[in-house]
Amino acid sequence: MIEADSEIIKPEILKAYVWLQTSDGSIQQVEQEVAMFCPLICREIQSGMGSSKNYPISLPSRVNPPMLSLILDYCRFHQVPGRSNKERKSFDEKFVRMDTKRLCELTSAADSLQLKPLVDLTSRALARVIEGKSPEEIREIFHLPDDLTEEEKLEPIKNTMDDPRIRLLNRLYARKRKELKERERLKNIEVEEDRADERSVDDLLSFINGSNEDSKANRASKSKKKNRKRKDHHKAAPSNCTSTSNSTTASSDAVYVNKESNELDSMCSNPTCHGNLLRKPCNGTKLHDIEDNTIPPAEDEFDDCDLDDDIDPALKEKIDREVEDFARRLNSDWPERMQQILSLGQERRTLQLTTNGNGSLRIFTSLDQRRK
Amino acid sequence: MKLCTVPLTKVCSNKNPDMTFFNLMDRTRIKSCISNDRISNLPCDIIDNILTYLPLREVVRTSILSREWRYKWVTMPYLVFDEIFQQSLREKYSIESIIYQILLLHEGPIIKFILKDADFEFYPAIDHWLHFLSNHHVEELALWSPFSDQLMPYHLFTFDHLRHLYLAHVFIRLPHAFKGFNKLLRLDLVNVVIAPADFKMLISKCPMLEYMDVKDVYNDIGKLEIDAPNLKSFCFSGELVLICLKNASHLSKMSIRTTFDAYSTLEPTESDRSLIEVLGILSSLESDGGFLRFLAKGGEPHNLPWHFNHLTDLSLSLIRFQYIVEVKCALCLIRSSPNLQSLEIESSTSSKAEMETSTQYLKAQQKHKIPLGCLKIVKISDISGLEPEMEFVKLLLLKATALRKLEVVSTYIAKEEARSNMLKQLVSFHRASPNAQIIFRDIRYPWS
Repeated sequence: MIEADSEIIKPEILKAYVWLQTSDGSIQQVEQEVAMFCPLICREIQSGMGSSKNYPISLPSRVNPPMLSLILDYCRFHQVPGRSNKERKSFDEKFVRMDTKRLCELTSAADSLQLKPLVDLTSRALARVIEGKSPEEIREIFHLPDDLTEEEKLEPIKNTMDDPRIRLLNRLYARKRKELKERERLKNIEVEEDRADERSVDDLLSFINGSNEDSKANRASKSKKKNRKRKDHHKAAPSNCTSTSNSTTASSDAVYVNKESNELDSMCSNPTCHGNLLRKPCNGTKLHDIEDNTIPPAEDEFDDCDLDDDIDPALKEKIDREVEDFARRLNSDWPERMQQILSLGQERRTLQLTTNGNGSLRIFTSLDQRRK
Repeated sequence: MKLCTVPLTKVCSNKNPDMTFFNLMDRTRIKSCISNDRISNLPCDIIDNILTYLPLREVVRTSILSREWRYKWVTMPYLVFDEIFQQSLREKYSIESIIYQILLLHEGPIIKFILKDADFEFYPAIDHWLHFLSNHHVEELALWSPFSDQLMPYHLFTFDHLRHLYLAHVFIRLPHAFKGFNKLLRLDLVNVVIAPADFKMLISKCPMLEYMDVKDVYNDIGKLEIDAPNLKSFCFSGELVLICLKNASHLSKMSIRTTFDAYSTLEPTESDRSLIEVLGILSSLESDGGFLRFLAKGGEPHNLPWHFNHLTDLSLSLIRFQYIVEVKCALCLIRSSPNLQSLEIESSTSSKAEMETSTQYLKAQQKHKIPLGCLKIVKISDISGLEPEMEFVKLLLLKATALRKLEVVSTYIAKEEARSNMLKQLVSFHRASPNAQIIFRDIRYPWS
């Protein structure tokens, strides 16, 4: 505690100071021991910066002068080694009593300075703000726009990949959903009858072809899953559709997403036209798919329990696809995934996904860009 | 098991007036919101950090806050399905379906996966979940099986990054190709059935293990051989015959509670010497009457040949003061620990037993030297004012020169008179320490 003594005896002569420059250009002089509490500043000092006014340490842009003074207050208190845990805790509690806007700014600033204890403290405070509140309250506090449609709020969350598609479809079919469902039910009866006939020639062939590719493509994925899917194919009517989805992942999703682009182009057209358009590549099961948004993500995979026979074949196809995504994710390498996640985190809208061998993902990106 | 229509968001659907499509006015309002919105622009790892402090249900609820927030929760690395989470579930959703959905939607590493106190179908769900999680860099895994003796799938043994493993009510069978948990620091096993050879292999393949807690072992685990060079704390409770600790040079805390007097008839053998040596380096020991007798060589020692110089915290439970052997052993242990700072004794004395011998012995001890110079805190619980108990307290007060706090928790005493007598006695005892404070608590009113 030599510094403490010198504080009393010779206030400024023995203390070292560093110069810090914030994003707005202003330069501040701070006691070195206080500033050293921030790892980023510590490193800069060790590499020689900040010792004079001409060479100040330039702080990251997220640190503005009011935030800097708050952070320095924090550092000034905590860098003193002699304080008890109780003292530190009560200081911390008082310290985070500020409005949420400042809390967010402070979190951001502390993070850019790599001051983890302060980041944790403010994060916990923000979590306490969020906890127990209703969504409206949270939106009000943080000024979040209420930009999800009612349907979106009520529907189950899908896999991220599906997101723009679902949003689009919601917008299109929100009003007409009931009518469509009825129409679908009627069509279902017709389609199933049709399907029974069609399956005879082309579809069996493609099924056989599909299953050949299956063994190559999905070797990595669980064999159990594959077998179950094959069993399900026999059970379910549109076996050809599921098989096309099981074939090399890229192509199936390419096919699927291409249908999407078709939809997009004819966005304004009659929903029934849509249905017809979609029916071409794959026997109308798409419609059920689109309409019925209540889709269990992984029903097919975990099969030991009773399989609901009520589920549409279309749902099954959707499930298969999602299960494939899941399998792909399971089997992909970590570094690529981390890159994926990081880039996902950067911007959710324009996903710049690295090549993961996922043709579908690439197409997804372009789809998204096209929308913009 | 119907997995359809389990919309997580439905759990908290709000009752906003219908807002079907965007109109121009909404757009401008939204734009102004965005400029004021500070939290959504925080880096995603900070948002993950914030979400880790929230219970899981609230985390998933953030998905309906706004478009930005719809998928912010999926990278949160802690998945904790505990009682709080289950209380918030509505009846029609099963916990398995929720977990499946969350696992599928989740992205990124899952550092913590905790599933406790849940009633669900263990198979085949656990097989799938563990397979999924084994690729997700799990560091902390807690699994509580709803029924006893469920066999753990072999996927569990492929978790390379595991640091903390907590298993309850399961049956463990190690695969032959088990490579070990190289980073495992902490192992908690509650009511786990495991063969002794498997247990030995498990421990020997976890070189970094620092903390081990094995509770409620009721199968015949036989001799417990523990070879853990980094072990700092070892807790055991259940049926046990023998413990053999090898290379335990860092062990500082040990807690052994056995359910029956397995030790009373045993004579310590060569291998048990290691156990007793270990006691010499402990700083905290928790034990019970049966084990105590074993430590004191089952006989009636006056002094142990060793000095437990490092022992600062001692906790003895189920001491039956009517048996002079136990009293002697307890005192022996206390006498051999000159640096003892905190002592906790839980009595289990039956009031109908004959107590004269113990009482006389304790009275006689007052003349002897008992080094209690460092003893600061004493807690004696479940006593009912019986003679040997009171003599013991008297002895402590007489010898503990640095005593600061003596807490006495009485068991249920029917007669008011008996309780007040006890109080009077306590107050009347001579205190060697001027700062000693006696706190009396009745078990009925633990906060008084």
